Amino acid sequence: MLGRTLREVSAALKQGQVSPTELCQRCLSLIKKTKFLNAYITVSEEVALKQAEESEKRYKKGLSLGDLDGIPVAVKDNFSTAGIETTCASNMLKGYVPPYNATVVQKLLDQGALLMGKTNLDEFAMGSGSTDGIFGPVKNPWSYSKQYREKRKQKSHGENEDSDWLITGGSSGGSAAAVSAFTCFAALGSDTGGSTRNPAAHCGVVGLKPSYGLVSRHGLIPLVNSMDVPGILTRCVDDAAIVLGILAGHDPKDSTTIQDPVKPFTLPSLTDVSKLCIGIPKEYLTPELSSEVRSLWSKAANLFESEGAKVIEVSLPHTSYSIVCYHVLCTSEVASNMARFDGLEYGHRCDTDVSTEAMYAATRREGFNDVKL
Amino acid sequence: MATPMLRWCCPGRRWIFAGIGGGSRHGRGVPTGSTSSGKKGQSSVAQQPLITAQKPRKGEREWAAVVGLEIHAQIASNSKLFSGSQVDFAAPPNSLVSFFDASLPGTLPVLNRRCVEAAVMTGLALDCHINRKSLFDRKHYFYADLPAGYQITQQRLPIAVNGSLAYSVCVGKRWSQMVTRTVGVKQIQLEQDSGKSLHDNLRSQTLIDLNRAGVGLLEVVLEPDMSCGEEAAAAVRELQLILQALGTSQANMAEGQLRVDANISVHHPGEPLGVRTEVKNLNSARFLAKAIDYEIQRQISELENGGKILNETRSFDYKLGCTVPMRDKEGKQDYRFMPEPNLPPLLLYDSGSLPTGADPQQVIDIDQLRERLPELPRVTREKLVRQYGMLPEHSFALLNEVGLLEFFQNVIKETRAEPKKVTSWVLNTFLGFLKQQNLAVSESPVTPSALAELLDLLDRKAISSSAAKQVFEELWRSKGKTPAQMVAEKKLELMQDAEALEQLCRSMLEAHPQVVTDVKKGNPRAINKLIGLVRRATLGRADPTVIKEVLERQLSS
Repeated sequence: MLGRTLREVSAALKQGQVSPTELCQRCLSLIKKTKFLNAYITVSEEVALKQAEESEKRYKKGLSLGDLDGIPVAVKDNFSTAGIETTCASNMLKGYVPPYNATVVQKLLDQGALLMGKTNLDEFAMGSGSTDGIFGPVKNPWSYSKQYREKRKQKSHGENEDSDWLITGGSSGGSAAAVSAFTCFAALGSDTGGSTRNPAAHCGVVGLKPSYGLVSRHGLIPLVNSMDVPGILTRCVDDAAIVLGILAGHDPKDSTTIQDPVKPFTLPSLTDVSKLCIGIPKEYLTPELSSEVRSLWSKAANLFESEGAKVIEVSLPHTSYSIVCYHVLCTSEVASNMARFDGLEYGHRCDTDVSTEAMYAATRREGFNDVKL
Repeated sequence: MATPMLRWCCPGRRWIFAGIGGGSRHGRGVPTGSTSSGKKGQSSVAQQPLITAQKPRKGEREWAAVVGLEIHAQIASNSKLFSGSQVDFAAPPNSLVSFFDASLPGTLPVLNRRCVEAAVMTGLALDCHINRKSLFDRKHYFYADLPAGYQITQQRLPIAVNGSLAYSVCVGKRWSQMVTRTVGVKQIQLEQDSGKSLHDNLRSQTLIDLNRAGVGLLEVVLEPDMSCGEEAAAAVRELQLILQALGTSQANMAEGQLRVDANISVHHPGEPLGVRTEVKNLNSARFLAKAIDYEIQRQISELENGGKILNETRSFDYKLGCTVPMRDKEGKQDYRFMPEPNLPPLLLYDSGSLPTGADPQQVIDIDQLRERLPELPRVTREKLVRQYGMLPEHSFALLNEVGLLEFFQNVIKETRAEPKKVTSWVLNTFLGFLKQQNLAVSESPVTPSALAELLDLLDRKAISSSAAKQVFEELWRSKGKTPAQMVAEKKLELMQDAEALEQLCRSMLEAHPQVVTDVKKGNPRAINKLIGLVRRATLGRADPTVIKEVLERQLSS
């Protein structure tokens, strides 16, 4: 059951083949079993079971809220969740319990989704490995796959198994691992410079970064306000589309969301690709590209071409400036967004009370980790 | 400063420095690096205070002062600039703080429409160009009353620019000699107010109240076109009246709704501008001019003594009456201005550019706002002068007190007396009583109707003006009786019998032939004794002016 798509599970729930509570309990038990992955910072067992109970009542009455009703989901720990600790994997927010839900979290809850817990990440979503949070690194479930175990046996010659594991990529590594390990059907990540797509690729799941302005950032603890978007991690593309349909749309609380109404959509099942035109940007064929990646890329391009799609070369001429611009914007906005963490209103506060400046300095030194760019 | 220094600021906008204390230069020799030249023999001259500013004495150089202002006015709106929490001056500490105001992570600003309208209206009233597109920026600094570590303001492209503010100052000794001056409005920008810090030195702690954090402010920047404290105070006063007339701010300085920072420098005319200092947080109308003038004098003395002016921030110590450097603002701050990424550019429209099918809730039409602008104080005053023939300074006085204009207009409505009479009674008698007892117009025990009735009695010549004053005083003290009732009770009616008065005067003249002779000899003032006597004989019920007229007529016949 846990390996099914959202639509399949939803149908099963409607037909009574499985109940939300069962689903919830199975996921919770799997979370416990896969604790070594360190994908979850907080497991909200009580909350999830209660939500499952209510979902069950709805299904019994035949009043399901939609495709997500009764479906276990996980949320990256940089989204505000009312009453549930939100840490951003940082000492600065350890123990911080927000009084409100992020808009995207609220939307999921309004659809009846079950919140399994908050997933691990790089501290404040700054990183691309999910290794830099205070709760330790997230381990890629594929580290425990048969293939990798065989590879490891060949290499290690008796080295400690525990220390040989693969990273999930980041910064939404916890969400990616949670989805990849079947502990939930969908997870929210965030994407600033690849933080949803990167771990999705590493963990073999689907990672969608919606266009900026499509999904509300209200409640997403920001890294770079002009680039952040909530990301969606699922095990198949159709599931990602379902979740996007629920999350997209104007939010009056976020002035950067577009005003135009978003029409719900379903992805067409694509069997005929002859009408597709696919562009391969030439600037991305850099010398640093690994041969494995390059061959996979060619393989995909060839696959489409052989099925009748048009595959052409395109140019994205500003590519070479992108990293530099990203760094300038990123460092400026991060510095700005981190200015609010002074220990006064919430979060960690140091013990010094000599002066305000001293308190700020000590609080921030203790609360923040070193920045690893 | 020991030496009282007389100066007129307005005519030539010149300052003549007349020396400080007793002997700043005396016995010190010429200081090195002094900007003044050939001053050796001047110490004796420097002792005398100068009375006129027009002609500098030989050898002494004039100083000119340059004053610019940054005025922060709290916008009168129900909720804050970027969040939905209420705006209220007297609420319990930290009771009006939303998640955004407390800078909880993940919260985002949402622009308040009313605040934008207030900014546009103020810009229109000050003849500014309204920028169809304006931008928001972050201004960073660390302070306990700034929860986010930055203030959202409009540094690059504010909402309104290039306007002007006309104000009036008195020139010369008499209040009636008023001239209109203009100061350029550099820009108007929207920005957030900070919270309040209360320093508890006893317990070495600072208490933070975030009720005010995030309240919308209009920052009005006035160009350095002013030259002294009085001009600055007059400009601020006029701006206050405009904001209050528009309803965009209550602009009450005592409640912190209007705060002024002044940029002040001095220089010799014809030479480049001097280094300026900023005097911050002038929160009292009374001390605004004083503080600015003090700083001007301080800078002049400093330079005259060969010192330098530091480009620093100072505050005004109300108790000591002087400006002092502000310690925690030393050194130049790098505010690291950055565009506010959570707020798209603010786009305003006029009727010509409104997008079709636009939701009126989502767009602001400048032309519509312009049509709805209330009457500005300047126009109100002009109307008063035209309609009632009053002097300009009277129109100023009427607008200068809350509720006074309305009171005046209500009296006018109900009385047949001449507007000039009404003006005089309202501004002299009525206002005088109010000021004496420190009352607001709304607290006046005398209603417009009562005063109107009293003025009617006077107009009909039913009572004399001195009787009227008496009645007024009585009205002020005790309620419940109408003027007519009081007149009747105290028997203050003027004598209506003209014949009887003629008779009385004639007999008085006959009884005092000496006075008659004195008057005829050329001492007209001798008649006053007779007037007094006739008055007493009528028990005060004859109008002295009428008595005088009758006597004079009888004397000349």
